Amino acid sequence: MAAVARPDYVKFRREADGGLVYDHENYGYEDASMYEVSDTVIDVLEFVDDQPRSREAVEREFSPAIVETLISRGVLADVE
Amino acid sequence: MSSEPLSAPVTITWEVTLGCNLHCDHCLSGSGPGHQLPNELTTEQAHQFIAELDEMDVFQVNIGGGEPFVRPDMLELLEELTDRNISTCVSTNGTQLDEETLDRVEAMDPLFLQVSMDGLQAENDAIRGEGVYEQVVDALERLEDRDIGTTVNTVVTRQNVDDLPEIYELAEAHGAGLRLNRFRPSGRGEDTWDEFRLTEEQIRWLHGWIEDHPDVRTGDSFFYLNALGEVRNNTLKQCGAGSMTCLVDPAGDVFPCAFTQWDHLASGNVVEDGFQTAWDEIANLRNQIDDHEGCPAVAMGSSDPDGEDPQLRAILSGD
Repeated sequence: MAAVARPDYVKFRREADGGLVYDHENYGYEDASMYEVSDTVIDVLEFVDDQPRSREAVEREFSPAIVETLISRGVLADVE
Repeated sequence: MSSEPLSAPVTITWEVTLGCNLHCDHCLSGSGPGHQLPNELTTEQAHQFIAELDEMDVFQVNIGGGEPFVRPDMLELLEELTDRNISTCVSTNGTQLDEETLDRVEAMDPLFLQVSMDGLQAENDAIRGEGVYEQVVDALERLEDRDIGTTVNTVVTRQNVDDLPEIYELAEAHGAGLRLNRFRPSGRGEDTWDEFRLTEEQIRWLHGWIEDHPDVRTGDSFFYLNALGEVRNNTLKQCGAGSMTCLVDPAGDVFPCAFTQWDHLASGNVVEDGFQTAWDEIANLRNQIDDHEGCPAVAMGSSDPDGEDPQLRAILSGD
């Protein structure tokens, strides 16, 4: 069954207004990437949590388009 | 960013000690042999601080000093940080990296090393001490075979700017990246500001060289303009001191950044007040930080009569 997961190098946290996503995939000293994101992105990341989650379940909870967008931006990854 | 202050910094710099086996002429923290403070965080206090960093969801911790590895408990603290999956970056002078240390560092993830090299042999050793260059090259050779993300860090000065092409090649030959840091008037840099700071001509050459070497890392407001004063990287324009990042000194006092460690900008202590309280207070200090174009720390530290970053002004207006 297809599943999605948050890569180890992606971290996130909720803020008063939306949240932050931190990505150190191409990491160098102080060269990680950080994005301001909407509440929805944080909702998805909290839903997926630390373990792979069925892609179908995430799409049902949110939408296929949101899941696809987050995968294309590297916030989520397809896993077997 | 949102107008709301962040609940926690994205990244912090933690100077874990003012002790160092070297005594560099431009040291931003004024560190050196025997310079340890009597009230530097104990191992237990440091562990408690790390637990609070984790609780606050701080993404990244940059470890500096002094030389971090002169702290006997440094490896233990790095293990604590990485066990909590906090991205950890260690700035080291490269002289304390024996094989046993590297074995333990290699086992940690996510952890990255930044090794200082401030010129080729003549210029590096003039600033950092006789024989240091050879020790750093030796460390880079041994790091080359290790699975440890490594960058060579160069504080660019009037004396070493011409060495950059060869430093770049040397770093590349050892599988390391090159990162440039701006020389700032803090610590012993206040005393050597006029001696080491770049001339306007050198600034313009440097910005052109960086344009030609996009893989050279900068991450600094000084480098967000090109030689013609045009913005080359918008993401670097905003100074994050006190809004996205801060500095924790060896005694646990909190400041906006490593280059603004002045008493009137202190905002609490991680042991006495807790880091969350100190961070929450730092938003008030942000109003005291000069928000002129460029680096507020340089503007304040260089005592510029107009309260501006004079080197950025040179790029922007040719003054």
